[in-house]
Amino acid sequence: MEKLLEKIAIGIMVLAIASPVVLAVETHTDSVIATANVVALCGVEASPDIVFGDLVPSQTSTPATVTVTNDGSSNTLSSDVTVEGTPWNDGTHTMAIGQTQYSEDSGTTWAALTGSPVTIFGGVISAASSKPIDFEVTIPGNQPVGLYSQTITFTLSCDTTPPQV
Amino acid sequence: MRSNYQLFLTIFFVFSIIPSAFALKQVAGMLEIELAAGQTGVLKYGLLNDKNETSTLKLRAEGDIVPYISIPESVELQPGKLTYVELNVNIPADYDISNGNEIKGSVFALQEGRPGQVQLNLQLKKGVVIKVIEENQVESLNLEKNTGYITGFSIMPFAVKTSVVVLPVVLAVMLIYIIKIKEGNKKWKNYWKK
Repeated sequence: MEKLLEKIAIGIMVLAIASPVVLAVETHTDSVIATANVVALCGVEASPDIVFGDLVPSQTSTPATVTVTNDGSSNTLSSDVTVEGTPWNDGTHTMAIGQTQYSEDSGTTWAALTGSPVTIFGGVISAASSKPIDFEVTIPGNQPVGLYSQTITFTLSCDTTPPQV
Repeated sequence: MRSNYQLFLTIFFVFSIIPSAFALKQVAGMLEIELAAGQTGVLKYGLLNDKNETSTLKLRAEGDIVPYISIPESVELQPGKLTYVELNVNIPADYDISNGNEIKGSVFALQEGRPGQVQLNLQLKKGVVIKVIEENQVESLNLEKNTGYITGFSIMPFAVKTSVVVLPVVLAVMLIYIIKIKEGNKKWKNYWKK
């Protein structure tokens, strides 16, 4: 019995001395979890510039085309692009917003631009898809001469997160 | 006379040459946060300027969120870099939850075209929802968050790990040895004297 205890004690001591060495040479495999959050982006681009040129009262301009691009990174992104405008203004006189019209079907039908956002591009749309929007302006017959300006704003929203694949 | 005058006067519509609008991008999805009355929080609005030039955007909020959210007036976006704008949300301690527990609105990031006769703006719109919840719901939520993101990465030094394993063994040996001495086992003592 004493012999057995002796052997056990010696064995444990050897183990105690050897274990740091064994542990030191074992493959150390702590794991690090790397995370990369790939986010879906939606974007908008509008080009080129609009140039109507010189106009006289009662004249309607030649249509100018602006291409609005859904510049997103996902094919399943639901987004909306709206357009709105401000009244024409030369610092003294104004001209109604609605004198500017836009067409989404290459000039077949025209709608008056408004001061409130109107959706021109919406729903689930493919990445990098684009849509041409034609604009034209008609000058009222009694419009005073002036150097008028207007602001047109395209607004993009994409509040629906695409489904996880 | 007046009519003729107007007819022959040319309205000078020269739409200034404005550069093509920058492409603007934003991280998709709504911005949502849950807070109790008296708490503050931060929402992060991701914006990307996808062109080669620095772009400055004007920021503003609209809707019911306006009294509860503070945002910088503008943000400068470096080319090609995703930038997160921090939107600070503060629900006052005296907020009456009976008024509704969802406060909704939008945040806009506007890139103005060059000022002139024509200005072509691009704007991004982001929906924001602030959910006002009871205090006990917040505690429950925090508990879930605290226990939900523990990862497998340990920072315990290797030497400490080794000591933890070896120390009990050494102690066990010492214990046996002491017991043996106390028993007065001469054979055991003699064994070591050899």
